[in-house]
Amino acid sequence: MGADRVSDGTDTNAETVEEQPDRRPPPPPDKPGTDGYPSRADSRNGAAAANDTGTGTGTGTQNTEKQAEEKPDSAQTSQETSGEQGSSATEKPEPPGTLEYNEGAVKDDSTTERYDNGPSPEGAGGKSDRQPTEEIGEPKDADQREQALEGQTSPHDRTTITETGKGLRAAGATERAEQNGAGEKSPTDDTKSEIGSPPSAVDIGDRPASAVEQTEDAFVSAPDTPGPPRDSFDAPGDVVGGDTRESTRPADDTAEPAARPPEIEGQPQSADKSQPDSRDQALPAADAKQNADQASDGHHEKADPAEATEGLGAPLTESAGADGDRIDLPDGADELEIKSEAAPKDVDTTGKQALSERLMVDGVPLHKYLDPVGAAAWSNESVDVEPNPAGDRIADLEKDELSRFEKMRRKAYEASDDIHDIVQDRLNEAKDIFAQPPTGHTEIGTHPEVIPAPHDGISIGDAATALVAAGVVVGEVFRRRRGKLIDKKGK
Amino acid sequence: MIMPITADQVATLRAYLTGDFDAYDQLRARLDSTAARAGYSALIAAAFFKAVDQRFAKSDADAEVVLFVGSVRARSEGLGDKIDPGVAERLIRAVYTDEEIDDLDGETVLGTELLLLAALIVDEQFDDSELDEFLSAARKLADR
Repeated sequence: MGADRVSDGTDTNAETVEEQPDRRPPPPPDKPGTDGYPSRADSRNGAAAANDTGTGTGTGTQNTEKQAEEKPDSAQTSQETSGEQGSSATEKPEPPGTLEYNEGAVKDDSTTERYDNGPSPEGAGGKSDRQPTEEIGEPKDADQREQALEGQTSPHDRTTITETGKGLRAAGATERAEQNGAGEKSPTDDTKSEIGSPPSAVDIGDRPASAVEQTEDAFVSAPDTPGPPRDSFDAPGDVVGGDTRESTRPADDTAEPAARPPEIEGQPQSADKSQPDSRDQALPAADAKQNADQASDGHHEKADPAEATEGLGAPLTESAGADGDRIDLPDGADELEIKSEAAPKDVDTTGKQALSERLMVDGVPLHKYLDPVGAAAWSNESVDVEPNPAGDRIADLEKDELSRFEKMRRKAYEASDDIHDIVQDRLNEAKDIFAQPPTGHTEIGTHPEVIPAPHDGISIGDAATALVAAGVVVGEVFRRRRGKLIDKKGK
Repeated sequence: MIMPITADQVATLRAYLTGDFDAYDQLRARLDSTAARAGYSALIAAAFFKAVDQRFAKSDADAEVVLFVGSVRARSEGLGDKIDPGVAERLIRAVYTDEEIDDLDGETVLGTELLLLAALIVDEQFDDSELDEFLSAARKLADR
């Protein structure tokens, strides 16, 4: 329907471009390898210089410079690739599918810029549902557009294309119609007849704004998607499905480059976002379709484990681009393939078991979370629990006791004939054992013991002793008095 | 060889363990047959086995065994001479360990068991019922 706008002359975007008075004319078309024409690099430099010196009120110009600085390698590679393929692109008609893919890429890039820059002045002026005009001069877009339109468009057409995303689509469709000799057909009819039902610019633009933003953001986030993303827009229902899945599928897109087949990996990696465009321009439609199928296969081989959770109601993690790959296969087969291939390589069990191992609930595998007893019962881990003694083990204990007693009984039996002599020989020592006072305890009286006073009488011995002593004393006294009397009489 | 333990054999041993040596001499004189002597020898071995098991099996008692043997030998000079401490300790350990006593002669084993059994029972200070229960268990073991 973007082409319809061009055809009926009501494209407001084109009018907006014309309203800018001091905008310089675009650089002349590049014709690499042709004498007398400036190279693409010269054209780019000239356009950048013109934008720098010009009014440059649009934010798209600034973004163009910014992106040109950020991605010099990709731009350079894009130039080289375009230069190499430029002749072939001009000589043979462009495959319809390739052109549609280029258009989608251009659309996505422009959309990305629009979101980065915020609302455009036009959007503020009541044209928010239109494609903004600030996508001008984006290096990658310029390369793609120039490759697609090189030698086929007039400067005026190119101006319209570089100014507006929808204008680009319209012009591109017109050019394809002219190349295919179907100029009488409308661009919309041309596009649909070539690819089936590709999403034209109007298709996306007419959708709700949120859906368009999500889809286009998903395309930008997966620039290396080798498969033709156009497949994701084959049917309106598919587009809606892609919109619903794309918001949670960044991881899958990041893992996708590793899954690319060797043919795709061998292509220049520095081409980045512009690589698929330039490649598709040079490759025939059949080759592009084959590469798309290979890329789809590689994508499914490297599907992340999150894809396996789709069947269990987990959040969907598909992007629009990846969803486009999935649409090539039947829905049921696609789901099954992803689940089986997403299982770890070291797990050779069923996918159900691997899935239960990978699904974690609070850090615990799902099957252990749901059935801890069963998981422990089926666990191969060793348990440090000593088993209860079995019956034979108890019997062994009794056997040990009997065996030890049997040794003593055998020795006693050997001396049984001499038992009387043995007993008689040790009978006295045995009596010593029993003669020992048994160990007892001391008794403590409960009442105090009173000692009575002695009442002894006069003993005869003591009296005799006393009489002897008294007689000795009396006799001594008598002798002394007698001696004194004798002395007195003798004097 | 398993010999049936008779009541006379049990009564003879009971008289010995109670220190009634007059009754013991009378009862022992009845054990004139080989079977009676074999059964009585087995009953002495079983009683010694049970007594040691009750005293030392519940404790890790190598040191306690040594102390016990020393205390028995110290009770009289004759006991010190008649009891070989090494043989006594090996016989006690043979009850609750895999101590081998094959190198000991039967007379030494039976005579040492007889003296140690008397000391164990004296230390236990069994009353009549406890002694009867002990002898019943010993008879049961000897009959197996």
